[in-house]
Amino acid sequence: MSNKKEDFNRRDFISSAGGSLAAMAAMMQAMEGRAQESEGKDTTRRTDDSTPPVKMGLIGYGPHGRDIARNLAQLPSAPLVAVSDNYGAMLRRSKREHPKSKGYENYQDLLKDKNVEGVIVATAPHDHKQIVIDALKAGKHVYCEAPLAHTLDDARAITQAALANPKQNFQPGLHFRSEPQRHFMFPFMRAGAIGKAVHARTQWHKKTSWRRVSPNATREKAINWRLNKEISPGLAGEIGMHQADLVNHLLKLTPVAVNGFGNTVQWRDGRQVPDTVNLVYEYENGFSLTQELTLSNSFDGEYEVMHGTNSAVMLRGTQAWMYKEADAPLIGWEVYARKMPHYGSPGVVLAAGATTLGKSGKKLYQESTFTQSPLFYSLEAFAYNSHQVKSAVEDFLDTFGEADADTLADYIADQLGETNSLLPAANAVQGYQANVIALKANEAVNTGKRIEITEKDLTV
Amino acid sequence: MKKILFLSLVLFALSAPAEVFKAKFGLSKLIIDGDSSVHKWKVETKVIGGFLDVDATALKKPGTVSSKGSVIVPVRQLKSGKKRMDEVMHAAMNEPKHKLIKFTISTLEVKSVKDGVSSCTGGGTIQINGITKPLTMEVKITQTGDKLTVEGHTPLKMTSFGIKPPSPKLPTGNIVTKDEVKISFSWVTVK
Repeated sequence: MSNKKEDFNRRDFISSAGGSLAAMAAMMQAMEGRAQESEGKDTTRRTDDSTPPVKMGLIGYGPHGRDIARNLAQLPSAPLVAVSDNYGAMLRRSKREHPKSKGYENYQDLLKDKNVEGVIVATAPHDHKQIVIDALKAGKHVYCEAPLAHTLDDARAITQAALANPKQNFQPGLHFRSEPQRHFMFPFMRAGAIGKAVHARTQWHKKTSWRRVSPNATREKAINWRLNKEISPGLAGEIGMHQADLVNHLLKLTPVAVNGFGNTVQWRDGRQVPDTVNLVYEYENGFSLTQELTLSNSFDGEYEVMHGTNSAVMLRGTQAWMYKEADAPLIGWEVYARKMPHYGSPGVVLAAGATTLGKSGKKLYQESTFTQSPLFYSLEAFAYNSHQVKSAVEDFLDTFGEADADTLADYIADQLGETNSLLPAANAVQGYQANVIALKANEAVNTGKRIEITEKDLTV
Repeated sequence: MKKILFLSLVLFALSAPAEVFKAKFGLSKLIIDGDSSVHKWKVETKVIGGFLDVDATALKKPGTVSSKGSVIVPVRQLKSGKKRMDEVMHAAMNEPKHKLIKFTISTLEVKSVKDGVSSCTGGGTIQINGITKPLTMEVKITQTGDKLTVEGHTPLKMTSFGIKPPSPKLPTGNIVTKDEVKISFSWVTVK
C-alpha cells in the first residue's frame, strides 16, 4: 500500500487541518456535523448498521479469542458465524456463548465453510503460520493477532503469503493503528507539532500472573505458552510491541538497536520469562524510546508519552493531551482548546470526535465519542476493509478479467489506499516490521545484550 | 476468372476489417464534476472497462466509421477521497441494484483530423441507475501504436436518471447538491 498518507508534513497539516483558527473552527464544525448526523446511532463506531457485513470465523477460543468474540457481537458488520478450537471444553463454551455460530474442532473444517468470508486467528503465535497460510489458500480474508509469529522466519513466511494473495485483505492485529484517538494524532504528530522529537516513553503496569490453570497437565503446558521461553515473545512481544509500534508509526522512526533488561521479581513459579522488563531503543537521529513493562505492579497503568523540543504529548486510553514548553511558538487554536491540569502543567486536550462548538442546549465540550477498545476498532477496520477489498477485486475482475498478483496489489493500493477508502489499519509489511522489532527486543531481554535491528531484518 | 479474382482483391482491400480494442486497467480515467451549496465536488475512477470495435484506418479521414462498442464503469469504484461522501453518492445512485454505468457506442462520424487526432461525433446510449437515455457527444480519438485513446465530456442531469441529488445534513442546514454534473473521460483501449 502506498506511503502517501505517511508523508504528511507541516504544510499539509496547516493547509488541511488546524493551522489557523478558521481551519480549526471548520474542523470542529465538521465534527459537530457528524455528531448531529449520527443522533440515535451508535457513535462509538465508525461504521453503521448499513455497512455490508463480512461473515467471520474465529480460530482459537482462549481468553483473547473470547474477547474478540465479545467485540464482534457489537459489530453488525462482522457477524461471527463459526468458531474453531481444538480443545473440546473451549469449543463447547463457544457453542454456549455463541449458539448461532457453527463449531469446528479442526480449523481446516472451518476454512472449508463457504459461509466464512474472513478468518480471525487468535491462537498462540507459534501456531499462526500454518493457519494463516491455509486460510489465505482457502480464499479467506485474514486477521492475524500480533505478534504475527514467535520467530522471524515464521513472520516472514506469513507476510510473504499475505503479499502473494492481494485478492484477500490481510491485517495484523496492531490495534493502536486502528484506534481513532491514536489515528487522530497522526497528522498532528507528523506535522511536527511537538517540535523535534527527542524521546518517548511507554509504560504498561499490571498485576497479573499470566499463568493459567487447567486440570489437564498437557493442556496446562499448552495454554501457558507465554511462560515458555522457547515460544514466548515475552512482554516485549506480547505487550511492548503495540506501544513501540505506535511511537514508531506516529513519529515515522525506525530503531537501529535495542537494549533490554528483565527479571522475574514477583512470579517465581518456575517460569522462564521475565515478569518485569525495561527496554531502551536507539535511533539514528539521537531519539530514544524507553519502555517499562511489568506484571508485578499496576500503579499508573498504561500510557505513551512523546517528548519534543516544543511540547510533550501523552496518550492514555481514549484521551490525549499536549503539554507545551514555555518557549514553544504559538500554534493558535490551542489558546481556545480545553485544558486539563497535570501536576501543575496545563494539558491541551486532543480528543478525536470531540466538539468545542457551543450550540443551544449542547455542551461546549464532549469527550471523545470513540470509547470502545483498540481491539474493537481493529476488528471493525478488518471487516470494513475486507468488504472494500472484496468489492474492488470483484469489480476489477468483472471489468478487466484476471491479472497477476502484482497488478492486483497495485490496483488495490491505488483504488483503495489512495482514495482514502479504508479504515486505518496496519498492513502485512507493517505487521512484519513491528514483529521484527519486538522479537529483537525480546532477544535483548533474554541475552542481556544490545541487539541491532538492520535494514535486512526489516525487509520481507 | 481473372476479373473475379481482381474484384475480390479490390473488395478485400476496400473493406478493411474492424479491429477490437479493449480497455486496460491503469490507463483510463473518468471524472464526474459537480457543485453544491457548500463547495464543488469531484468523484473519479480508473476502473473503466469495455471494448471498441472499430476500423481504425477509417478514423484518419472524415466520414462515417463502422463502429460498435461499450464502456462500463462500476459505480462503487467512483471515489471522492471521502468515505462518507462516497457512501452517500453510491446510495443515491442506487448502487446495490444498478452496479454499472454503461455507455453503448453505435455510431461514429469523423468530422476532421488534425495532427493525428480525429474529432468525432459519437452516438449511442448511456445507462445510469438502470435508466437508459440516448447520448450524442463530441469525442477526440488518438491512435498511438496499438493504443486508441477516446476523450470527451458531456453534461448530464442526475434527475434525468432518477437520481435525487444528495442532500446531506450539516449543523447550518442541509447541503443542496446541484442537479447538473459534468462527466469527463479519457478512455484508453489496446488492440
